[in-house]
Amino acid sequence: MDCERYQEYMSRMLDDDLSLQKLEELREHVRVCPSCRAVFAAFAAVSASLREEPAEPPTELCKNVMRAVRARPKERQPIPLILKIMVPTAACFALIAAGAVYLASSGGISALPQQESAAFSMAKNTVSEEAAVPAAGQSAPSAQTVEPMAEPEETQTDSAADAHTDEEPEFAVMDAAVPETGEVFSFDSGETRSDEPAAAVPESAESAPEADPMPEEPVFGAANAFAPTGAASVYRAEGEYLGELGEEDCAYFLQTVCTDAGGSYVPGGEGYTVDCGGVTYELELLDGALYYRVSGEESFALSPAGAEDFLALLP
Amino acid sequence: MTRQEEMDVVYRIVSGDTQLFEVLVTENQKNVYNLALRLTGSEQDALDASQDAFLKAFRSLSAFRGDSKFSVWLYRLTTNVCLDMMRRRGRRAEVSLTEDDDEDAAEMIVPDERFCPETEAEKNELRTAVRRALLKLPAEFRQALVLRELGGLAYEEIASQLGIETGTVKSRIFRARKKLAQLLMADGNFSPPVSSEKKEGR
Repeated sequence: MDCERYQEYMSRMLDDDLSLQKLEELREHVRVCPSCRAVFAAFAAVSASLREEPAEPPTELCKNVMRAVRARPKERQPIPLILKIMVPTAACFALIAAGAVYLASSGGISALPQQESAAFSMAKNTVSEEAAVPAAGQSAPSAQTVEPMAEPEETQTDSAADAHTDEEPEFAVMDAAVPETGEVFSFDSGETRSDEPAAAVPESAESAPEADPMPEEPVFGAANAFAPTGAASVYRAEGEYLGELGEEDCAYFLQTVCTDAGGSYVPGGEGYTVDCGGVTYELELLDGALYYRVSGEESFALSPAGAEDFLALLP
Repeated sequence: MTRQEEMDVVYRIVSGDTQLFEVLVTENQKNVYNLALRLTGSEQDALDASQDAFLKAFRSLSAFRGDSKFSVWLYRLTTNVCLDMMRRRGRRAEVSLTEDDDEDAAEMIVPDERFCPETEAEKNELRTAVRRALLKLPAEFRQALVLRELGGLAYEEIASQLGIETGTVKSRIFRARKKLAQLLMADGNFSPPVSSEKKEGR
């Protein structure tokens, strides 16, 4: 049965799993055993044949997968987090971009122009009803004071994965909104840009027809729970005025900012505060990640992608 | 992609940037497709199985914790999809890999020159023969060998992915190789053992 053992050694040798000592034994044996030499040749040939030049996958493989990925809503799973917001990062971008248009164009106090409304209701459509309940708790905080943060209670991976549905429609909005953001939108120290809306609004309007086909009625519960009456002001942490958001815009801005619950609050860094009807929301940028919290309450991290998108819009 | 970059991409996908999944598909599709090709033996099945595996990966991406490389995790999904597919279809006639068989296998003697293909035609012949023989192996042996040879996984990785002991992995791979060598000869692709050397095999 020695040959059996040495043949097993051969197999392990091919897999880099044989000690030098055993390798030496094997060499000795193969030198004197022609049949094992032959077996080794067979093993090696099989191995080489299996390992050699892999076939190119058909091009439709990637295309089909990505088509299915875009079409398939995520399967819903129970989410343990306090905040469960069904707004994907893409919608966040679309929303903030639209909010920027609004800021830049209208001066921010009154009702949204028609065009942006369409984009906003797109984003709103994706907010689940579940979001309304936990979000209601968030409308309560009265203080504007900043207190040390509580530990985050969950990591974000699961919730973030679960928190998204209906990716497809938002991408349409995002695609429409993204190209303009770079040049047109600016918070410029809070100065509203009354000279630019003419350019910004019609661009945005082009996305409105794409928004229309959304069949479900908008779910506004979360927004209403979140947003007190009146517009909100956005400040940088140092107090520099950035602009104002309308009531609903503000609510949705905040909703999207905390889309990806999780992460932790670390004091310091560069920050923004959003003053919304007496409730202060704080945004902080730390190590490239953006964290959000209602003042005095727990904080939530924005996904790196979402944060990047958001920050791209700030001066 | 480093492990860190991989986790970053996974995180961003899970956070909603689903388009980014394309990066993972592009990076891994060749290996996944070839694994599936060896396990199913047909290009159409390999395509179906690969797509299925990627979608399974996408759906359960939030469960990926980075304990292993993404590719390793993906290979396991792929081999499972393939084996399920084969099972649903009903097994092909598989060879047995029992202890009794090993007795015969121990006597196996293979003429060296037949396994040293030199021309393209010889290489092709051997490749085809190996692939055909591979499909005759019992699924779990084929799976272990393919994960090793195509996936390049270490014994320990295969063991942890399949939930079996490392020793079992070693033994499955060894027996799979042995059976393949036997089948190749029985297939007529290689000359029968030289009888005068038979005794020395023992």
